[in-house]
Amino acid sequence: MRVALLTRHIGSESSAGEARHTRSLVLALQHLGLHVEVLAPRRIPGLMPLAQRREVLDGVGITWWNDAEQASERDWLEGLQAFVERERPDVLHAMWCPAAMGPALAQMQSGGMPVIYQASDDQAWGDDARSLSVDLEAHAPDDWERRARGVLVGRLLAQHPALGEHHGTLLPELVDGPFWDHVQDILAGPEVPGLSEARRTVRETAERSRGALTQVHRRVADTPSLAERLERWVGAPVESLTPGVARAEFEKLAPPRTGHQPIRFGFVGTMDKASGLHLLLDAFEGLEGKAELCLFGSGDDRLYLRTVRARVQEVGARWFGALPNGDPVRAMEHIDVLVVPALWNQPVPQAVREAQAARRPVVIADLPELAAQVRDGQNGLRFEAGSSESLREVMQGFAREADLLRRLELGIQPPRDIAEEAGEWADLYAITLAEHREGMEDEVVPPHLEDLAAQYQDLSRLPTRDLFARVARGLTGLATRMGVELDASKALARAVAAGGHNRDGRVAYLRLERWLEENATALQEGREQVAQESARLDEQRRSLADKARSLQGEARGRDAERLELGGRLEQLEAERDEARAEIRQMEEDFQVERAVWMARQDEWVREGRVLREHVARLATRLLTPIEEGAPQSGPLDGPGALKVADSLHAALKRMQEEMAWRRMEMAKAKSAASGFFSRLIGGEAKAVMKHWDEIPTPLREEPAVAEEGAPRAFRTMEPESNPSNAIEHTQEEMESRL
Amino acid sequence: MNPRVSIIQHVHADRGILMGNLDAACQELDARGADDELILVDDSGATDLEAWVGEHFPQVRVLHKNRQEGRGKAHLMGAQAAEGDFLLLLGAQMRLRRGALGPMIAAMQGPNLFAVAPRCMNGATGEVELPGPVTVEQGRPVVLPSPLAPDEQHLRPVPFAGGHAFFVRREAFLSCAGFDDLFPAPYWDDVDLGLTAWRQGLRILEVPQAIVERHGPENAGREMPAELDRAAIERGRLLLYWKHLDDRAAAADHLQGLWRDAADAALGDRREELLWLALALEEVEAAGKARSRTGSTPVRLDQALQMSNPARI
Repeated sequence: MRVALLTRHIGSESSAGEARHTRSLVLALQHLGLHVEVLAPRRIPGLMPLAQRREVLDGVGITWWNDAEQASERDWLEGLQAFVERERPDVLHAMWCPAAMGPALAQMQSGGMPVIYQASDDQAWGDDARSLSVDLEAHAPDDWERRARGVLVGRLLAQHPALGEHHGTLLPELVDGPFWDHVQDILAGPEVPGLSEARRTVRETAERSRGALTQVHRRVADTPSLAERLERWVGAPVESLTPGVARAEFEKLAPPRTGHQPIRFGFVGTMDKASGLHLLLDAFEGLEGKAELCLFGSGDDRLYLRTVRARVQEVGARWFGALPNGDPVRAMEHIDVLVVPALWNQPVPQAVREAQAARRPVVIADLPELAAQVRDGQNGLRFEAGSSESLREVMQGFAREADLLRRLELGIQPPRDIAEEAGEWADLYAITLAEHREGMEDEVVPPHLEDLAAQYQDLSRLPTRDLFARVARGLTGLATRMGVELDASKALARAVAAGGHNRDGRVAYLRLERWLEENATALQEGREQVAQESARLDEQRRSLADKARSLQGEARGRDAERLELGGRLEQLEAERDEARAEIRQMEEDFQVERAVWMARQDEWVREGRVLREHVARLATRLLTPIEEGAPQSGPLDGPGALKVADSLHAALKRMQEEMAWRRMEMAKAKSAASGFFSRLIGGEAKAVMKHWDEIPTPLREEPAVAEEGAPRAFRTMEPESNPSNAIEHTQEEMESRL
Repeated sequence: MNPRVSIIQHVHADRGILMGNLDAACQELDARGADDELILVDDSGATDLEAWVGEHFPQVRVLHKNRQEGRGKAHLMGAQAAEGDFLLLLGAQMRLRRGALGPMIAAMQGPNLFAVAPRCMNGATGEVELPGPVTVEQGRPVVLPSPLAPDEQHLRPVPFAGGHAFFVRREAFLSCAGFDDLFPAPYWDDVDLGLTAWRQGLRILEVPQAIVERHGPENAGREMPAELDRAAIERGRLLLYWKHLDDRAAAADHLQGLWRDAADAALGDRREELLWLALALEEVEAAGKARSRTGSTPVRLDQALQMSNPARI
């Protein structure tokens, strides 16, 4: 089986533990009979961007990809395709996956190449694989705000002329105060320009990466906890496969020194700010000569290295530089206790596995993934991550307790051997390939062409160099068969002289380059025009944005007004409904009242009729039938009634006049005793006269007020009891109500 | 005396097309009334073709091939079983047009004729497929487009008669054991047979008056993956050249060119070209043996290519 291993570090030049592990793994896989080809990024001065060059180092075929870390998504895809086309692997094992590479891996998978992604850090969440803030504070991998702000600070750091390879981290002593304050403002201050865009970019990048990782054939993580986190994020199964170490190389080492000699603490690995080496130096400074400190490693963060190196001299530590030939065994010879002061949550550092294989206890920061590598007090000790005081306290424990080192050493269990890990990977490759082929449809060819197809498939599986070697052998055989004497060196020399597609391609490229140069001026002018147009459009955009804001303000005011009017409308509608209800109630009441009044009116009409009949009867009695206006029969109605009334009035007036005359006559009679009355009624006339005087004199203008008991025809009717008045009154009231 | 003709049709797929083909062929044979025969070589792997043909065309003989070995082997098997003086070898998609046999038989009366090719037309579009000259470019044989107009009605030399429609004397076909095994059909087997004939001093002519129709692509039902199809073509191209290359200086140039191409392809990441070359080189021994089998070739390759050019009067 042929495996393509895509890794970030390999080879003795790198101090990264990952490089040592990859090399060991490749050798172990080759020992199992697998053909492994490695593709790794590397800056190679003088080569074209993204050029690929292969070499064989210690029996491992490595293709270096110049400056691949700067590649775009398309570059990744084309680079991977070219590599796979040359090497013809059966499986692609990606041990790292920058955000831009994810979609390329997904496309490789969909194009027929089974891909296994191995996670050793938080790269699946974004380009900051360590989830470490610029100011060296560890954060959760899905802390998008920290990541977004980190992106902004990263841009700022890239513009700083003195920072060099800063790896996205910073220490306050490396920059001036205002710059550090500015960084802090971006990291923890209020909203800053570009932050919302950075947030969007960070999320989009993470989502793209996540989407791509769901599409690869298999996902594997270095630890169960990382597998669990990754599974939650990706939403697809993630297996766990613990890395191993080439144990045999370390088992030959003598155990750590015990006794009266000062204990030797050691650091092995990449020296950058995230490694926490500066904390170790601070902690060691407080030990005051009771221990030694040996440092193995290197890095490309020159500014940090310069600072650290100065501190090394100050505190009296020993600086060994890069591992001799990348060999960690030599380093372990100088170390009794390995210190891992890392500031990021690194799963399974290779140096820890190597130290445990060499039976060296480990002092390690208490970040979750790191802490899981050590059973505190049994095979190593933990300290508070980021605290040099805590680390110093732990280191001092070795000086205080003479048997601590020995005790911890006895508690060390050997780590997993690399052969075991390689075996597990080989199984995974085989399973992956089988699963992949199971899902593929077999190509059907006509039976008589099956042999040709099989031959084609066999040749297709060869890497390009092997295919060329086969062709070269075949051409030699053909020459022999044709009787032509032509050895390979002569043939190649003539081939160079003859030219070919590559030379033609270069000519075409040079023509294109010349054309570009010739058109550069025009392009530059065009660019300036575009820039001007862009500026004008920006101005328009700003103007429109202002206008939009103004319109939005107006719209907000109108909204408030609309709300108020709406409220009032609702209130009026409520009042209207209330009035309608009241009107309905009044209509109902009116109907009831009307019915009552109609009943009353009927009664009044009846009463009126009775009254008029009664009046008519009285008038009949008072007025003689021959007298004008006397009623004939029935009740008084219409003009006849008025006439009767006038007649009655005239009759009454006559009676009043008569009564007045009679009163006057009576008075004369009273004053003359010999008068008519005295003669008429004797001595009793006086008493009779007295009663006559008591009769009140009627008013001239008004009809005489009838006394109680007087005949009904002379009584004055009360307005209320007058049916006519009552009817008029009721009609007026009804009209007013309606 | 009217010579007997054996029509041999290769069958591997579509029975609907076969029905039309047999109808047309039977009508042509009936019209000739010359004791001709029609043989079907069943290369389909099916078991019921014989019964089906017996039911619909009882006059047709069916030969069943136990192993599916392609058109070339099927035609050889048919030729071995045939009794006619002439063979008309037809591919599975080819349909005879009425009156095609007469002009071909007549043409075959000419001197030194190995075979004649009927004019081939696309059954659906009526487009004429004219054979062009074969030449060698950049050390590789290529078949160029015909320089002739589609309405050309004269007998013209052609470098080869397509394996899908090939009229030949039975004895001549059997004497060379049919198509060379080095070239699995349909890749260069017919070109090789044609070149071999020309180099032996024989001729091949196209007969425009004899028309066959193509109904569907040659490999209908047996399509190859595109990259394998191309590889088979390029492999055959090289093997054809190696078999017929007869000039030492040309061989040296050719080898030199192959080295250049190989180095160029390897450095330029053009793997496919290396693959084609490797596939051909796997058969160097077989090409050598095929070259030996060709026997005496009084005509040089370049002469043969020149003589077989349809543009040459």
